[in-house]
Parts: sequence; structure tokens; C-alpha cells
Amino acid sequence: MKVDGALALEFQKQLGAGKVLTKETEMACYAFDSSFLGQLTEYRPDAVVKPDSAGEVAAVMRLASRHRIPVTPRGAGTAQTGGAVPVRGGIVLDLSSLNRIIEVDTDNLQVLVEPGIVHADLNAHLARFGFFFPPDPGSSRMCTLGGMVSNNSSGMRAVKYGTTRQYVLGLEVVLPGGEIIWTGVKGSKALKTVSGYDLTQLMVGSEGTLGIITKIRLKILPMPEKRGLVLAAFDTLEKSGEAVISVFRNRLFPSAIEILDKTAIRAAMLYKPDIVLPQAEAALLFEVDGSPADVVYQAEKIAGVCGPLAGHVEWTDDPVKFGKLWQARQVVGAAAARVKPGVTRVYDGEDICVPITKVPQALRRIQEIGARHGLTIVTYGHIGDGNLHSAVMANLRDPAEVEHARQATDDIHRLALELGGTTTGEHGVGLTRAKYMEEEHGLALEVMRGIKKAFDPDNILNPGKMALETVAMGETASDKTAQDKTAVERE
Amino acid sequence: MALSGEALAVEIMKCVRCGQCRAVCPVFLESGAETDVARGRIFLVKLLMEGRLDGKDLDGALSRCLGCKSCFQECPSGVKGDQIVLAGRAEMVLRHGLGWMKRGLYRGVLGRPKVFGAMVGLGSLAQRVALARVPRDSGIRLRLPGNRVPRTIPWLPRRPLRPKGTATYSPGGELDQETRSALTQGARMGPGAEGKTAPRRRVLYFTGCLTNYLYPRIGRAVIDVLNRNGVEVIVPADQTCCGLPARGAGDLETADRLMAANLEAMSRYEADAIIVSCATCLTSWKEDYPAAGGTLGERARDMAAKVYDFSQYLTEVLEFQPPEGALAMRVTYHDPCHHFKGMQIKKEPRKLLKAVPGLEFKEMAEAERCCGFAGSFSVWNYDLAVKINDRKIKNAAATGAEAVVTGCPGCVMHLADGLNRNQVPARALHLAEVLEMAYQKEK
Repeated sequence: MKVDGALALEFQKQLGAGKVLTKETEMACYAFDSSFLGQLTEYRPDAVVKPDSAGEVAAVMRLASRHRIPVTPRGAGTAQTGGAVPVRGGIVLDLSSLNRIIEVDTDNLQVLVEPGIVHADLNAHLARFGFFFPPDPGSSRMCTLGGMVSNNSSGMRAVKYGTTRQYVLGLEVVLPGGEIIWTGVKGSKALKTVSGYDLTQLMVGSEGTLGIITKIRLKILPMPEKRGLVLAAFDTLEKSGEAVISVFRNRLFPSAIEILDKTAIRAAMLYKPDIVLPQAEAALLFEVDGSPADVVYQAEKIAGVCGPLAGHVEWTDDPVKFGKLWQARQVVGAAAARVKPGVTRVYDGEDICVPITKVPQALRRIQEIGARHGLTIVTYGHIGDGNLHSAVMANLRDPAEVEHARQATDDIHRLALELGGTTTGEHGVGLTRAKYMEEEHGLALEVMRGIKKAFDPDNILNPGKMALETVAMGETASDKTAQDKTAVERE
Repeated sequence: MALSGEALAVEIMKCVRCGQCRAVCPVFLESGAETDVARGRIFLVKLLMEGRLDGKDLDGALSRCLGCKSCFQECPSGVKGDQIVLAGRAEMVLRHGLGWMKRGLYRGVLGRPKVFGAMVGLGSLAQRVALARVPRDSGIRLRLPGNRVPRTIPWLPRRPLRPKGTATYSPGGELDQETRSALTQGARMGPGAEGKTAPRRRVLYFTGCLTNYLYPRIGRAVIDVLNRNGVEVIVPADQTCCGLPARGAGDLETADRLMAANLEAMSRYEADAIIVSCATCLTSWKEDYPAAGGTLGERARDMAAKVYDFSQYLTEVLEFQPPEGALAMRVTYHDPCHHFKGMQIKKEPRKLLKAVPGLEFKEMAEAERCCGFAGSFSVWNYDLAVKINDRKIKNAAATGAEAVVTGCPGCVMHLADGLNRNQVPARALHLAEVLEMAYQKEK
């Protein structure tokens, strides 16, 4: 059902006038995220609601469920999958005002936060105590913890520290009908529990389809004392892959291993000419952390292992030099967008994850896909866990090129499946990758659909995502809305 | 020329909507509204240009951009968010006209030096009559129509900085009466005051409106510091508003008329350089004028190469002679958006401040964060301008500085307002004023 004027008034009565937005300009600004689909299609909500307590979220859900209004929870709207885009209209629940750090308990290695807290703000706060929340997404400065939990985000340091999932101890969740539950044992500060089904882990990565997260109990870790970096350049992609495998075989455990292929090396140097990287097919950056002595030991050993394979190796534990070397990796995302004038970066096929041993092959095949479709593709990523970010560049104002980009990104997703990987390592499914769900999960998708039904029988929470509806793929949103309407009318 | 047509469409397409601008946009960080952040505004301009959105709400949304370029500086794809907003505002003016209030301000006052001067003169008279018993340093605050918070308005000068005709100020040479009395109050003249010496260089001074009409003291300080460094300063008559306020509001017709007048006024004299002491005017001269088409654009590009910010000219071109007088005070520096984010001017003013004997320089947190003034933004959105400003003042106050120094008279005005509103015992000063104070301490 649509949110009409009368219903909007009712929401305003519950929450106060300033928290319910309905102007056309405002709706337009909530119609997208950075996904390719979001660039091509506009999905406007009927209203945006900005609650600032779990009680207000519950009030919204009670009203929404009574009127069967779709509700799409949203953090900072930085997804690349259409995850927080309201494909069925209804309400966007903007949770970014719920951004308090409720409790920091370093002695018990945990914090309690609200979902709207920005990742970088949380870590800046924790740094004062010498602690940190390890997952480190590239969007740290704007993404929210709620979004990170909902998509099980990670980042470069996932090699050693894992993904958000490992750090979520418990959640306060508002269910579609407005009931509030706690997962992970209510009121507990225990770091482990095996009591009951693990609803916490079910919520992590559920992309707002099961409930609205309103509080997060997170495990935190003491910050490592020091960090070091090894840069190695290789004249073949295969050798870079071998180097990564040798490092693990030699019982070394870097916190991050990043790869830039030659397109990414070129892009970084084109964008920032003061970055000096060796001309190579691939460059690897290994980050190590720990005690000062351990950092030196590990960095020297990694350099030693890479030595026979690489054309160029250097390492540093000097913070200034460290920053300079990391710069190449940090700018590459931005550099990709500037590599060719008149095109823009397309966020699709941007997050495949393949076995570590298949990374060199994947990189080569992605270049072939680019060549086949006449598109520039810059690839870089977390080779330490096989997660690759491909930046497909296209002129969105040229319909033919848009079509090529669609095909190329589809080819990249299919490549990941062919190589025994997955279409998404850390960004999520949302709308973009819903079409691969059946292929990736088979019968297991039916189990997921059953879970969705158990939580949200009326399908009002973030509908249209993750292929959770048992409707034929390819059916349009308007068909579904019409269906919903008839269903309501029948009652 | 403002972005338009094909170039505008390409610039809009470059925005991938990643939301990085959410981390830095001062307006968004206060309001939390998606319409108040670059990616939102850019999308709204896209809808406008494609004929899919229009109306009063859009006008309101586009008016809430400071033009501070924080988004541009942060943007991974290098999208010129501020320029896209300007293009949107220009389109709105084309479609709907300017509205009587804006027309009055940009065309009636800023675009007409005589009217502007007369209004300031009248205002000054009114202040002196009405507030005769109020001490000058009380920080008088006015509640302007539409503002919920009273705003500090500077004491208006009796006369603007610029005399009727072109004025020349030579090192140690003849000055008009008012400038002389201001320059010599409690201090001796610059080097060689007793006899005229041949100047080492000659520059033209583009004063800008705020300096000319509200803060002649800043202009006098600029002239004095340049004189003391052996530079002859010519203040050409017929220069006028740089046009940025009109350009910012989308009134390109007025902005271009003012640009043409300034190019004409400043090309009548032979000089080594054109000096600007207002960050906003500098942007006009360095970015907006050179982007013009046709012969005007060509002329502007030739002239832009000779345009320097006051601090740049002292540190990069001149062999700056630091003052010998000691100035025992603690200062901090606020980077005007149009300096740091527009022109990468950051180290120059600090170098000058650190050269002043006795002066203690303390960097504030977020020195390059917008002060919230943004010209007429603070007129139309004063409540928001106050919120942004409060954060700046908090950071400045934390340094314990006695003076918050900056390189733009607009920032001086808004910082003074904020210091007063927050009852922080510090003054807002232009860099030139601090240098002049130190020269005056020379024995």
C-alpha cells in the first residue's frame, strides 16, 4: 500500500513532524545508492522516516504492518547493490540519526552502539582507549555499523581479522510487527554463548529483510602496537599468486594482502604521479601488525619469501613511508574513475570472491571480458581472501555502452561461479545480485525463503531483494505491487 | 562560464553516489538530510536539467550549499559538486527569474558601488546616532528580519576604503588624509617614511566589497604592509563587486556584467601584479573569470596569471621583510574555503604569522572547515550558518588564542559574530591586520 497524506500525518503524530519527510526533492534523494541499477532506475519512496529510538522504530513498524506498507531500512545509503533502495515504494527508514555509542566496556572487550554510528567515528572513539573494531571497509568515513552488520561487511584486514560477523555478540531487533527482541541472550555481556538458535548470526548479512537492528553489541580488540608493509612487484600474475601461497606455507600471517594488476598500477600512477610503483603485471602489498619486533620479523620474512619470485621487493615499518606505500592502494578506487574522460565507474560485478589459487586466472579473464566488450576495467582487491574489486568504466549516456556494461558485469559474476567462487565477498546481494541466488544456493534458497516468511509473513521488510519472494524472476515491481494490492483488497 | 549543456551532463554523470561527501559536507553534518549533501544536490540538478523536477522546494534545496568545495576536495571521482549546484541555480534563474529580494541585493546594491556606498554611509550614521552610548567593542548584535538568533554586525565605517578616483600609495609617499591618519595612529610610517624612495614593485589592489565598505581597516593594513615591503599600491577607481554573490545565486547576467567592468578597470594600469585580500574575490579572478568565453575570457586568462592572494604575493614573489616589532599574543588560523580548498593556499599565511616575533601560533582542530559564512548563504540560511559556525568557534576557542586570524573579510565577519555569540574573548582579524600591528610595534 502507498503512504498517502493521511497516513503520513499518522506517522507524524507518532514521531513528530520533523521526522517524516514527504517532499518531492527529499524522495528523489532517497531513490538510489551507488549501484549500477540505482544509476539507471529511480526507486522513490512515498515517505522517509527518521526515528531516533528503538521505540520509534517499533511504532513505525506497527503502523506499517497494519497498513502493509513496505519498509526499507537504510544507513548511509552507500551500498553498491541497491540494498537500501525502496523498489516497492513505501517507507525508507533512515536510521542514521540513531548514532549513539551507548557503552564502551574495554575490560569485557565490547561496546554497545546504535546502528547509525559511522564506522570511522566509532574507531576514532575506541582509539582513545587503545581499542578498535577490526573490519575496515573502504567506505569507513561514511558507512554505518547497521549497514555493516546487515551486509556482513569487511575490508582489507579480513585476512587476519575476519568479517563483521565475528564481532557481533548480540542485537536488539525490531520485528516487522513492532515487537522488540534481543538476540545473543538479553542483558548478557558474555563473549560466547551456545544457547538457542544463533539468531544473531542469522541477522548478520540479512540485508534488512528480517528485522530492523536498533542496537549492536560488538566485540572489540586491543590495537596492535605497530604496523609494517611489504611491497612486491611481479612480472606475471601467476608469480604473484604463488607468492601469496608461499607466505601462508611459511606460517606467516599478514593482516592484509592486496593486489593491484597492471591496469590498477597504471591508474594509480596516472592519478597521482608522485606514487612510484614498479612497472609490473602485478603488485602485492602485505600488511603485518603486532609488537615492534614481530613486525620486523614478519616483514623481513615475507620479503624473503617473495624475493625469488618478485622483480622488486621493499618493506618498511616507518609510519611515514608506510603511509606513502599504502597510498597506491588507497587511491586506486578513485584513480579508476579518472582513468578515462567521459566515462564513469559502474558498480556491478565489483565484488566477486574466488579461491586464492584462482585469483591470477580471474584477473586475466576479467581483462579479456573488458576487451570483448570494448570497456576499460581496472581491477584490484584483497588477494589474501580472493575478493576482487573490478571497476568497469562506461559512458552511461550511451545506451550501447550501458548494454555492454550490463553484459560485462554479468560475465564477471558468471566467471566467479565458474571458478568455484561467489558473486559477492563483502558488498551483499540486494537487487543487483538477486538473479544469481538460485544458481548460488539451489534448494538452500527455499530454506531462506521459509525463514523470511517466518519472520515477515506479509513481506513488508525490504521487499524485492535477495530473491526471497517466491515469484518468477523477471516480474516487474509494478506487477508485484498490483498483486499486493489485490491481496489486501481480497481481505 | 558556468557549467552547462554537455559539460554539465558529463560532470553529473561522474557522480557515482558513493556518499563520500556525507563525511565532509558541513551542511549535511548539521542537518543529516540527504538533500543537503553533494550527491543529493547533484541528483536534483540532474532531474532539473532533464525537466523532471522543478519548484520552490528545489530552489530551497539548492540554496543550502555553502559552495565551500569540501565535497570536491573529498570526492574520489573529482566531481565539482559546487559547480553543479551553481549551474542548477543559474537554470532556476533562467526559468523563474531572480525574485525581488535577490534582485534587490545582487543587482540593486552589490552591482552598484554608488548605492552600496550610500547605504553603508547611511547605516554608519544610523549606528552612530542610535548607538552613541554603546562602547565600540561591545559587539552590537542585531536581530535581522527572519533570523531567530541575533547577528553581530560590524561597526560601519563613515567612508569606504576607496576614494572617488584612483589612488596611489607609494612606500613612504603621500597618502590621502584618512588613510594617513589610520596608518599612523600610534605608530610611525613604514620604512623610508621621511623621504620618497623608488618602489621596488607596483601592484593593483582589488579590494572587494566587504573590505571596501565594511572593513576599510583591512584594506589599509594590506596597503601598509605592501608599502613597508617596498611595493607601490594603486587602487583603481571603477572596480566593483567581483560578482561571486550574483554568480552564486545563479544571476549570471549580473555576474558577467561585473566581471567585464572589473577586467576593464584593472587593465587601465601598468603593474606587476593584482593583489586580492579576499578569498572569495580571488576565486572570481582565478577560476570564474578565466572560464568565460570569447575575448573577455582571453583577457581574463591573461590577467589571472598576475593575480595573487595577499599572502601568496608576500611569500612567493616578494622577499618578505618580517616586522621587527614583537607581538606577544597567541593566534590561530582559519583557512577560508576558497583559499585552502579552492587554491591550495595553506602554508603561506602560516609562514607569515610564524615570522612575527613574539607571536605564538597554535593550530586549531579542523582549521580548513568552513566557518559557515559563504556570503549570502548566511543571509538566507542564518540558522544553519550559526550551527556550522559554532563548531568552528569551539575549535578556535580550544586553542586559547586571543585572535582568530584568517585571509578573508567574509570569514572575519562571521568569526566575529560567532566569537561574540559564544562569548569567547578573542578577536577576529585579517592576516594583514596582524602583520600591520607587528610593524607598528617597531621602535
